[in-house]
Amino acid sequence: MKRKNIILKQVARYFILSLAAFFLYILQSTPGFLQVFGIKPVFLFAFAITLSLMDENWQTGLVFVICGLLADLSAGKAVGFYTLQLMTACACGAVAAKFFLKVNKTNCFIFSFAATAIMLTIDLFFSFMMGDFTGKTIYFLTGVLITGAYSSVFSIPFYYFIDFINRRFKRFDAR
Amino acid sequence: MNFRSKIAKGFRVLMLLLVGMMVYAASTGQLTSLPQKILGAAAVPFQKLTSAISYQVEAWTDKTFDVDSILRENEELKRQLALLRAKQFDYDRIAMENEEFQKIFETQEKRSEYKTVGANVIGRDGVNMFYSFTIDKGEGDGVEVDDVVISSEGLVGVVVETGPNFAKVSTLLSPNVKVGCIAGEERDVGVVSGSFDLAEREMCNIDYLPKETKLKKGDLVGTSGYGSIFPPDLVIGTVEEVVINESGSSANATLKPAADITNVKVVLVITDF
Repeated sequence: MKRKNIILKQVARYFILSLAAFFLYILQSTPGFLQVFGIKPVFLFAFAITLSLMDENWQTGLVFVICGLLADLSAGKAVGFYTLQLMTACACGAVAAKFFLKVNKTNCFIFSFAATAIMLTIDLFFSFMMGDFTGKTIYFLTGVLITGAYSSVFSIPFYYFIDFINRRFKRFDAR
Repeated sequence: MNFRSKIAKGFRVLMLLLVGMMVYAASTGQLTSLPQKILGAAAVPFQKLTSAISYQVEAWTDKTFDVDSILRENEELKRQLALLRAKQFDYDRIAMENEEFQKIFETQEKRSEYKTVGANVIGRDGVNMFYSFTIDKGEGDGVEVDDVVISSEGLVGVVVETGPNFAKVSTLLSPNVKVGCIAGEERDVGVVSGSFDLAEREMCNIDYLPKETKLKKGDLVGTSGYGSIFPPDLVIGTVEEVVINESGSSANATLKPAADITNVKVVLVITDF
């Protein structure tokens, strides 16, 4: 197959993944969407982490950056706050998937939960832990652990979606 | 190029790009970068659509499944109405004589002079536990950072970030929003701010009240207007409970915001006062 065609297919692949991240941002910010007892899922983290475990191409980093920038925008954080954390988590995920971890739904869920919980804990630490605020334990339980677990549940449908995209574009992977 | 060096090179380039964006955003004193503003602006039409659908679904489910709560609310309202009718005569007389009535009237007159922009709530995010939200009006409509956001019931929050056609609003429930207030008949001065545990119950704190405060449950709390962000005499909410600090040097109170912050759908942004 011609190199140009391969490049075009690769561009299409990452455009689809970026578009998916964009629509996940819209769904994530929709008022009341999949909200249970006031807790909403954070799709972008679960999506980026699952993608890092399943796609070993370096171009995936662009999707991580888009997910991170959208997460920063969505949460009203300074640019780079979640992006840097997500990039680091995804780099760890990619390395783990390449050398140590078997990529399946369970591991995607566990890794996604761990990474989301760590990122939300860092947010809690830098945003509020240093101030004299009460109720931080409640926030940790609901805002970090439960939100992390709830968000990570969506790593399973993302697993199937990314698997579909990977199978569809596998033969165009740059060698 | 092998896998490791490709990954490392790609990672380095992306990190450099990101740090560049962060430095640029920091140098311009903004939270968001240009790519984020573009993405945010592109998302607004879709957010309007999805939020409209979500509100329709919510209204339908409320009507369909919350009949019991509507009936309970109806009973409670009937009871309150009967109580209010009994007191109406006295209230009318007091209102006619009350100087405060004149002050409120003047405040209303003043409020009509505020420059405001109506906006719809089109986004709420799961990461933020203090119910911050996105509105569909931004720089193009004259909305700026630190503009005050109110609903028909009272103060909601303050704009913390703007894009071309959207803005992010941090609510009263956030510990990062501090509002100077005047409370009760004695017009005690304090500072309203959110906290983690009270945000769960959709309430806020009033700190730094004088220890001899005579505030009681139900007293009205409004903005003091000290500082340049919040105009004076906007309704913030009502007092729920007053507690004297352990040190005894000051008092704290719990405040129930007048605005339904967690469910507000339409707001007014005060762009000039």
